[in-house]
Amino acid sequence: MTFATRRLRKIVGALPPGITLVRAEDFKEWQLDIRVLDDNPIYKGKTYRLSFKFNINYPIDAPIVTFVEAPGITIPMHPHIYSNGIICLDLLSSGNGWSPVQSVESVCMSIQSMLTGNTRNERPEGDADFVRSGNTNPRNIRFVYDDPTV
Amino acid sequence: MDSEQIDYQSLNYLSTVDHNLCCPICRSPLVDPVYTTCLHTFCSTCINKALERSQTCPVDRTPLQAEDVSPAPIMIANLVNELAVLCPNSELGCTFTCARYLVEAHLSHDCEFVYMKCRECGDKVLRRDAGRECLHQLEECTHCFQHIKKIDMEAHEKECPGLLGECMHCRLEIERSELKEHEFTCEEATISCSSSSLGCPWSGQRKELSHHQAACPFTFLRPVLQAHAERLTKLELENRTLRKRIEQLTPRINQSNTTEPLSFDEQAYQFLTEQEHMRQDMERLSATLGELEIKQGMLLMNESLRTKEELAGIRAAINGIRMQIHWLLTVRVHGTEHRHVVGGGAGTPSNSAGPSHPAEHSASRRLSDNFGQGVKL
Ligand SMILES: [Zn+2]
Ligand SMILES: [Zn+2]
Ligand SMILES: [Zn+2]
Ligand SMILES: [Zn+2]
Ligand SMILES: [Zn+2]
Ligand SMILES: [Zn+2]
Ligand SMILES: [Zn+2]
Repeated sequence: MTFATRRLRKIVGALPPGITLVRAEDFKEWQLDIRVLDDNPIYKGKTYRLSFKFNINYPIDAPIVTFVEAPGITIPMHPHIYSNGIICLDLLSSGNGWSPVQSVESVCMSIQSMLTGNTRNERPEGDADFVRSGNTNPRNIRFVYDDPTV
Repeated sequence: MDSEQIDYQSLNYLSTVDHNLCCPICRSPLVDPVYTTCLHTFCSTCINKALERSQTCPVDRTPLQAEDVSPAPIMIANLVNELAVLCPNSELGCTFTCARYLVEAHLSHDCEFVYMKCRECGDKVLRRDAGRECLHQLEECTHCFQHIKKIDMEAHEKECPGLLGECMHCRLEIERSELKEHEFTCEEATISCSSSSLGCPWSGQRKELSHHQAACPFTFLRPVLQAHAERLTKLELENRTLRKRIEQLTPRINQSNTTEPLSFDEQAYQFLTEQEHMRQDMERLSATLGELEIKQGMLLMNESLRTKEELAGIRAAINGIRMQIHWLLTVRVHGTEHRHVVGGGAGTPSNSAGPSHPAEHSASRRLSDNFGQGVKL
């Protein structure tokens, strides 16, 4: 049993409200559905799906977390979420953002509150160019975390 | 067994462990606990891995170097070392439990489920079997005559195709390889009625099936029910296509509905108003006609009155002339002298009538009056 697997096994129990485990057959990729719990009109009544990809060094290494589409499930509108599902969140950057004390639950809750606090029903600037460039690995992107409002 | 191979982080603990004794990185009870200058406690392997990646404390993100980490107070180490754990081989069958720090000794000296080297051939063998003869020699299975290692014989017996097995229904002893096939024909195997899909609740031994089916109402009704089911699916299909067609037609009807639904009332209304108009026209026309009739009548009356008067004048004139002719004729009969006089003055009868008979005088005067009137007209 690898270090990552051992650690992941511990959380299959209780998840915070609004978060459900959809798929966790192996310890390489998990999918979780999240709902925004308040009445934010942008996300009200909608469910979004997160994909977590773990490498063998999890939780020392950050997981790769993206929103994914599924039947009836879209990518949420947010000025820090690209339309291909890539999330611009400090916590997920492998530099100094991630910490090994973080977990799947804490990441989900951070993303939940990122949606809850959002009032702008829009994509990041340059979304179309970014998506066209075909970059699907969030690790290759240098995000700018300069927006204190989100 | 090497002590380093013990995976402490995957040990199973007998009871849930206070989370204060767990490492925030691996979330397991601390193993070889260390603490940092910022007073956070981790397993030594966990914090070392984390520091390779980032030189900050994973909990509070303050800068942290490897030399800022030192062994945790002995009390903490003792607390976690004395937690009761299951033997790591519990899944293989070892039921031993002990304090965590004793696991190593148990594995290296006592655990029956640790693999050791066979004294004779050097192959792997569990400690519990290591004291006996070499279990890696081949041995012939008495049932299927295959050659199997002694150590694997126990497992082989569970699946030896040559070994007789007992049918769980009829208790017949047959070869294991045929047991499965027998199950499909075993007279005492419990089966359900062949009409169970139609709702027959019967289940019983196979040998009783024919007896049941002779009386099974579901089996009797099977052809009927099947025909019904077929018909039902056909009707459902038809229903679906019809519904689709209705859906296609509905918008069209709705469109036409918006223009026509008032048509009858409106038409009636239109007719009524038109009729009213016509009635008014008619009234007006008949009034005009009446007026015209009166006018016409008056005109006619005036005209006929005038004509009547004229006629009367003419008649009087004619009478006068007749009298004159009569008088002239009588004069001609009574005397010849007068004849010349009268003949000479025929154009002026009134002047020449002056000296005539007094009886004739009024008549001629009336005549001249009538003439005067006629000239005036
Ligand atoms: Zn710290
Ligand atoms: Zn740890
Ligand atoms: Zn044991
Ligand atoms: Zn041997
Ligand atoms: Zn055999
Ligand atoms: Zn049988
Ligand atoms: Zn039946």
